[in-house]
Amino acid sequence: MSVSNSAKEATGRVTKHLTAKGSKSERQAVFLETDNEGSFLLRRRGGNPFFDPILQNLVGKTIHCRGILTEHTFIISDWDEVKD
Amino acid sequence: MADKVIVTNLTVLKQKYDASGIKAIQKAVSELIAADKSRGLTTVLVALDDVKAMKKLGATAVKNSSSYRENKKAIDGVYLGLAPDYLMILGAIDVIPHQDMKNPLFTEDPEGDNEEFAWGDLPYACDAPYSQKIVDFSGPTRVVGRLPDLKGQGDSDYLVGLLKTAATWKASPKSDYQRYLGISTEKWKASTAESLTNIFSSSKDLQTSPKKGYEWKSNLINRRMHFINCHGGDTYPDFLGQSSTNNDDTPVSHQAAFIGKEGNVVEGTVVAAECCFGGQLYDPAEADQGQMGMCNTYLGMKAHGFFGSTTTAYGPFTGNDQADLICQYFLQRVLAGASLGRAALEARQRFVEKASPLSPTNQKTLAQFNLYGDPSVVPVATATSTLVVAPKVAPFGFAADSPETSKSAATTKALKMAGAVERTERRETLRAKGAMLSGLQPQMSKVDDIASRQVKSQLKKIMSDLNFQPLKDAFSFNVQSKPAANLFSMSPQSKGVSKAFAAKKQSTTAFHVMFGLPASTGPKASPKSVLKKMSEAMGMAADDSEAPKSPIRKFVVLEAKEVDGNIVSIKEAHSK
Repeated sequence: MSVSNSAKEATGRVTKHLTAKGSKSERQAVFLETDNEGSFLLRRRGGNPFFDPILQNLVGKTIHCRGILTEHTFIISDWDEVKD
Repeated sequence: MADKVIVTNLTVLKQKYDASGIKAIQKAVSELIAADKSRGLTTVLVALDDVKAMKKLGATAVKNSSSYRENKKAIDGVYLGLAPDYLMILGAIDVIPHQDMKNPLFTEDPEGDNEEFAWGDLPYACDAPYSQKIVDFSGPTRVVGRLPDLKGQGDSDYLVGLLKTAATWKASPKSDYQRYLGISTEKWKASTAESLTNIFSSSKDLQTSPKKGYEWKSNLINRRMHFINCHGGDTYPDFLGQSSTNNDDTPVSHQAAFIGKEGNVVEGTVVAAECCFGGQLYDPAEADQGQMGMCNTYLGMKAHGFFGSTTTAYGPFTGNDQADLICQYFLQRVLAGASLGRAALEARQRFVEKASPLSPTNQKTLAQFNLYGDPSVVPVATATSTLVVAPKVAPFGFAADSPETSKSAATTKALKMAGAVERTERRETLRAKGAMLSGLQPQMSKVDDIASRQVKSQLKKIMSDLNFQPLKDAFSFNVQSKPAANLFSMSPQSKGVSKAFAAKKQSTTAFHVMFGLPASTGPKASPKSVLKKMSEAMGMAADDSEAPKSPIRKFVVLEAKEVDGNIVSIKEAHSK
């Protein structure tokens, strides 16, 4: 990858759906769906990129999270649940 | 002229490292150049940003270090000016960037391949000018490798260490490289076993995860050939296994921190990793506990070479294709005694030869795999029948058991001259082959959706036979075949035969890609009956060996090859 990564904060709803279908990385992955910025593939810093039970527990919830946005992934370091 | 050129960007290095770091790196480069000289290689360092030096070579200097176009043009200029047998890029992608080739599978559909670029060094290995089209680089001719420092970091000790390894390598007997550490997800066990058999003639030592890994015992981790077919992630240091019965069971199969422990990797190890992002050069500060990526970790522990992918890779879970092939070709050539750089070039050429015309998944595969390590390193000493005429007749080749110092100066000189002649002749052959492959590769243009109703309905029928529902996401690549390349002078007889073959030639006219989800209802078609239906639809004989086997496969991508309106073959590039 040759694109610069950057610090990021965002709020959105955590969802789970298929990604990278047909590739060696095809999986049910966790995403952050935001109102204005679209959707980001989520990973917890230090978490398993394929199945992270901690992120799985956030599915369906709205969170505000902070981390690094790479070309492909929003790697979050911490987050707060936002009550609807 | 030079035998080997090291290219870097001094302005960027000076931004990354303090004065003492730069001094240490310059000293280590000088030592590498001196070590190369003792092996008979004339090596020169060229800073792509040095206006004066570049002008002297007739090349254009890089002004903007992150410009893909400028870097490509600069390296092409250096290549033309010095015609080296080896080109080594010194630095990570913040020093000299990977090229920004467009991923032909890119889609904004969140379920698909969302990677806009298939980053890589492939264009630096080709004479074609800057382009974002992978097919423009289907004729690689140059021996290229990258010795990467740590992206975003100013740790000069790391780069100095890599340069020292490159300066002090020694070829080892083939027997040292015939035993391997082979790691696979449990799910891809059959494919990995086939790859290992193709490389080492046996797969009996294959390790699968789960249940094995990642603290490999010394009798496995100390082996010099590592072949890994596991999962990897963006900015993630470890590789993961996957259960054959539970897709969510993905334990760490290979851990970078474990690789980085003293004594776990033997100097001279060569790695081929099929894993997604296995060869990604990321800033360690962005990963958990600052752990550098697998590639950087191996090289830091004195591995000689690492062949891996920058992005998401493709391959089947039974049989071999895409990433399986390019990785096994690389290790096969290393084992045959090629330098790392030549092994990478020959792997690319063989892959293009095998996969031509390049389908979208094969294009991405060609673009995304890179060699990290000094391309002139020859890990395996090979026996040879060639004798060199010197004061004493001496066997030619990299001899593991006879150090240079035991020979007289005259014999050493004669050996170096013979080596240079053989290398030059090999390069000529590889250049001709690359030019031929490039000449034969058709141009392709992407078309959203599949225009032909007949083809679409054929694919939908096959999807249905496989008990899958096609998704809306589908696209085509129109293929414009070139007339047979007239690269060599031909006798009247050869011309006539070529004409006759051209007249009966059936060329691929398009590739079509369709994605499918499992049908929610209805009985599962048995693999054999599905295959039979597919074969009947295509007017082909069924081949039991290719029957879909996995009971847990959930999604499929069909990649169909069309000739004049008819689908002639279909590949499932799926569900890894």
